[in-house]
Amino acid sequence: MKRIKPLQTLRSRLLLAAIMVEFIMLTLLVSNSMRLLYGHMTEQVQRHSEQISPVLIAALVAPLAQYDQVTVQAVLDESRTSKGIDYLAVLDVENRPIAMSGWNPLTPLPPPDKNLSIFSTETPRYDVAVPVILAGQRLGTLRYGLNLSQILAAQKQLLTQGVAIALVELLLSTGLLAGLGFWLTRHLDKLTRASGEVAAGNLTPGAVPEGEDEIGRLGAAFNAMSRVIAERVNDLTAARDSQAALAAGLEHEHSRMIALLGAMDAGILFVDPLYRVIYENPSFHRVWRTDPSQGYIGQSLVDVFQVQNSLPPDTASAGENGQKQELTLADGRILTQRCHLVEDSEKKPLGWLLIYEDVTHARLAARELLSAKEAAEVGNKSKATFLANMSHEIRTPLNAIIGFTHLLKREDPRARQTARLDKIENSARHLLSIINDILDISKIDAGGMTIERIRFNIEAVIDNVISLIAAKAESKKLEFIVDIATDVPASLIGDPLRLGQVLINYANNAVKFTEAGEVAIRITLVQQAGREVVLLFSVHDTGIGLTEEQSTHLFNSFEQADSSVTREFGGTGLGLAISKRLVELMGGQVGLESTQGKGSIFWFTVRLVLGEASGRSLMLPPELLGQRILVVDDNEHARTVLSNLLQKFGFLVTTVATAVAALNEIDQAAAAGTSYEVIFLDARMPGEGEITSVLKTQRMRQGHSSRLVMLTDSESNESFMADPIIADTLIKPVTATPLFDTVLRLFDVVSTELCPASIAPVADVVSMALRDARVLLVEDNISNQEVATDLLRERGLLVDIAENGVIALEKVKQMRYDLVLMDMQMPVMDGVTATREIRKLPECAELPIIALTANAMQQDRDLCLSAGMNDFIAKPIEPDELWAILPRWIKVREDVFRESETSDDEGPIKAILSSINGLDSATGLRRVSGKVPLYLSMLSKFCVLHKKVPVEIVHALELDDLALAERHAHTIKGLAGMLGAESLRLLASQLEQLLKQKQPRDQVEDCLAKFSTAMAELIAELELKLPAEATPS
Amino acid sequence: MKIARCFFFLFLMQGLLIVSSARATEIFRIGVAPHTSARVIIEMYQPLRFYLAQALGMPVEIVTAPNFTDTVERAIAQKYDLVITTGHQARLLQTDAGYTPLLTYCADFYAVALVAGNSSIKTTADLHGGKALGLSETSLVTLWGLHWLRKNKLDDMNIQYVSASDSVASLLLTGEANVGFTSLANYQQLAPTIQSQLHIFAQSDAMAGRVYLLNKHWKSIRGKVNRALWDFSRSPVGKDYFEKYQLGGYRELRHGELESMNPYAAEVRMQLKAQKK
Repeated sequence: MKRIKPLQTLRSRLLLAAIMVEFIMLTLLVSNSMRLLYGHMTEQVQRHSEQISPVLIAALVAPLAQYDQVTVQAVLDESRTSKGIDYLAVLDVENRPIAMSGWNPLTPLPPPDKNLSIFSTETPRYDVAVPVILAGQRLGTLRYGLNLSQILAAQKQLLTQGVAIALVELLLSTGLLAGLGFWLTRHLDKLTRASGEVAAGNLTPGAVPEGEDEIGRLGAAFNAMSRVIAERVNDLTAARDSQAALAAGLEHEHSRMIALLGAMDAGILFVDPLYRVIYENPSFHRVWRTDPSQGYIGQSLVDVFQVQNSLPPDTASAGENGQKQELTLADGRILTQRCHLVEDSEKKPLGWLLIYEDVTHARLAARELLSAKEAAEVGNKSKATFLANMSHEIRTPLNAIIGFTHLLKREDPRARQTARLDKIENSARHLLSIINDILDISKIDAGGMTIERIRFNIEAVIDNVISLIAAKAESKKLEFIVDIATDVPASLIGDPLRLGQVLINYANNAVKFTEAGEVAIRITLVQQAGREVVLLFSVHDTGIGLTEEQSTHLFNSFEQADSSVTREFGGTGLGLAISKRLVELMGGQVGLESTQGKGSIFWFTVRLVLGEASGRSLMLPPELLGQRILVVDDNEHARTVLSNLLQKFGFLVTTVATAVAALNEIDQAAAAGTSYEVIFLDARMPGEGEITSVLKTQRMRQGHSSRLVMLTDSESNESFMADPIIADTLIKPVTATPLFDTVLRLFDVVSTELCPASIAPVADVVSMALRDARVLLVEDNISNQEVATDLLRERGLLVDIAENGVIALEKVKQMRYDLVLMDMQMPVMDGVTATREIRKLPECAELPIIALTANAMQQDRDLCLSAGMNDFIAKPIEPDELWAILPRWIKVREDVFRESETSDDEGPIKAILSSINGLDSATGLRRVSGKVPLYLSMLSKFCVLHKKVPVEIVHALELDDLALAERHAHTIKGLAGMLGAESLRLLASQLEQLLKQKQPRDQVEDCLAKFSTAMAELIAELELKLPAEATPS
Repeated sequence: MKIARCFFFLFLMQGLLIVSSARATEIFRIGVAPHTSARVIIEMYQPLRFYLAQALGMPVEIVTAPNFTDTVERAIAQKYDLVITTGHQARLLQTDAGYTPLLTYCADFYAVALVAGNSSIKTTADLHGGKALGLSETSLVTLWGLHWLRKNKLDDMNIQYVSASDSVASLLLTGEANVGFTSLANYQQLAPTIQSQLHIFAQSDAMAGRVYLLNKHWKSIRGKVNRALWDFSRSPVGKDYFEKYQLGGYRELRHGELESMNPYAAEVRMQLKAQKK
């Protein structure tokens, strides 16, 4: 390469230009700085002068006015000591010197400088003349000279330093620029050499230096460019090679595809976007039955279809993408055509792929199957209809049998007749249960069984089970126990009816197959995830048990342990099968564990949802927490269950299994000066009498004893209630709510949530409310007419009969009924039609209509409700069910008391009640949930049953039986609190306390007198003001 | 001879011209006794200066002196064309330096003895052994004060001389002296806040105030000067001046008024002699 002369190089030229520019700029900078500095200095001198003059004048005014030369001289001498002033002089108004300092008086003062310029100052001084004026009068002239030598010296020094700095900077810049130029051009030289190599054909020259500056980036770009050029050349070479390989691969792929299409059974066509055939496979001719030698390549798709006189579904196109269509050919065969759009990689349509298959045989087979299915459904429907009819036909006579048996038993038959009537009733009910089982299994098999999802209380379900099972267990002297784990939620969502059905089935079996020992229902929480819970229900018995082989078939339909069981215990064998199916519908499982001769555990799980918390919370008042309670029961399981419940409430519980142990506990407590507040005692355990005797003795001696609660069965309960030593009774099996209420009663805590039914008989109130209600019975069967009429009239209802729907329609037009009981199947006009017609009458829009029918299938219920009926009672009529349903629909008769000429609604009654002195009727009504009839009933009973209590207390006191007197007072205290007679309650409470504390007789008698007066006044007012029907006769 | 007479006449005329031109550029200097601070005096007499300059047709200058003694000394040395000073000095200048009394202010002159309002001094007996303030040894108020002290047998008091009435008031208020002597006019010129804190303990009988005296060199224009002064007193500027300083205008000197100052004048004369020795 040609070498460049030094001054022609870019480096030299740039360096020269930079130095020249630097020199000019530095010269300008230094000169300008000096100019600015001089200006600044001049300004400073002038400002200094302007600052000095007023100060000096101020000091000179007074002495000048006084022409005080001494003072003026002193001021000048003092002022000249400050730096920068060469001389000072003061002249009088005639310019004669008065005083001078720093100046020879023989030398004339220099003329003052008009303008200060330190550039042109020959002598380094600034001469100033300032007149001294006061109040417009000139007093003289001040002359002084400012020394500028220091400023000029500084000026000179700054100029020297500025030039020196500029020269040094020029030298440094020159060196730096020379080095930089050398460094930059060094990389450019390398780049030039590398470019030359590329130009010469070397595509991969050595890498030139890279960096972050422009030259470095140029180097990096050059390196990248070199690499890219090399890569592109390599890519082009590789692309050429791969293109050749791809062409070969495509050839192979095409061959394989042709082989594949040829081997397929389905006929294949490819058509282009204009529906011209561009490919056909050999099978196409076989499927279409055309001549293989006659190809369709290039022909229109329409021409192809014409071969078989068949038109495609859409002659204008092959069809929609992915669509499957059927073609029926002229020869009757059926082909399916599947149409797929073929696109290139850019989604541009290339044509259609059409696939044809002969499905003639498959379609014929499907049609035959459909026919068979329809025939089967017709058969099933007939079977269901038969089942419904059979159910209806059997239930109708059963209704008469059960109904008449019920009525006969109420007519006081002789004992032998009663026994036979019981057998008739049991047989009929057994037959009914068989029919129900058959219907259930039929419904489940048909998939017609639906599981409800409603909110329910688990304790209510168990109470229902207890009500059905307890009597059976009692009759066999079995201990019946219910054990609900404390973590089982009270409120749940599920199907309580079906849950109860399974439990009843298990419990029934347990009682049936247990001759001695116990039957226990246990409920535990197995799993909880969010709001979903799984509960385990198990029924434990100490019955005959099962072998392993027997256990395996037990949940199958129509199977029992063995035929001997059927003979001995009866049953259809459907119960457990139904239970299993119901449990499975509720998302659970069933199972059993059994040991022959020892007993069994039948269990099932159910998947439920947590319900909203509602109802009562069983929380003790704080004052009752920690009270001591003794549980005496020889059955360990029952003892544990009761103890757990009491402990959960918050009591301190001690349990013992024998009377001896119980007596020891009572003695030890007495010895320690304490006692058990309550003793729960099993009525059936050995030695029960000894405990009651001890307590009686204790009361005789001490005037009080522990409250004794007897755990009884329903039969013997009444007898225990009469014993004054027994504070209360509880019927086994014990569950939480009744136990809680009993405890509250014992401790004299008035709970507004106590069930009113426990205070007064509901049936009486219901009867009162339903009495004289007018009912239309629509029934064609004379026996059923008679049964239903007798049942209704027995409770005081007025009954009209209509034999069919037409008569019923006429009757509701003529008479206002409170309720209609409607049979479904009747001649002339059936119940459903009659209901629809009745509903068309405006005045009957709200008339309650209840289906009364032997059609027990779910679809029958649905049909009734859709026709406008309000409820459903299945035949045979269960009296309890009838009396449970009727009050729901017959409005509580507001005219119950109308005939007593008091009022025509509750308002006047309430007014009368509120006028009774000593009675807070509002509080009393609130405690019976606002039910006026119930409240009236309680008041009347209070008058009848407790009128003589004051006399009885007097008698007890005469006999020195303080405990009896205290108990009477206690009873009145509770009742008065419940009724809202607060003043009476307070007096009774006071009397009870006095008796309990054995206060002096005169205090007791004084209180008793007040109590007797209050009782007498209240009862007198009640008897006077209460309506005649409510007032006891 | 005629030529000689003519030259003599010309020479005389030239001399007269020179003298008249010299007089024409001469400054008419008014010396004012330092009854208050120099600044106040210069400002106070500016209206009179302007008026006289215009009336007399020559520049007028107001000057004062460091103290009363210097005033009387400079006046005796004939350094003032017009002197404005107290009655006793006027009498001295009249008798010893040939000055002609012209007029005085209508307002009577009173010397007063001041004490601080919050001081415990209730009677003259309370002043025994204390400190008294005077303006200058030769000032009228100081001389009256010294007479008052002697009259009240307060010879044991220390006397301190200060330059002006302002200083007397300040030293009394700061408790550095017990009693101070000044003129009633100067007392009334004090700032109201200071005035209210001072209490007049004793007051002289009415005395001649400041008297205007003309230098004997200006006897020829006495009538012009006298007229100019009376014209000033009647001019709006003059009325403002008299009202502002509560001087009441000018009046002629009463017969024997200056002569009554002879004892004080004699005391000044003695002091001046004592100083010269």
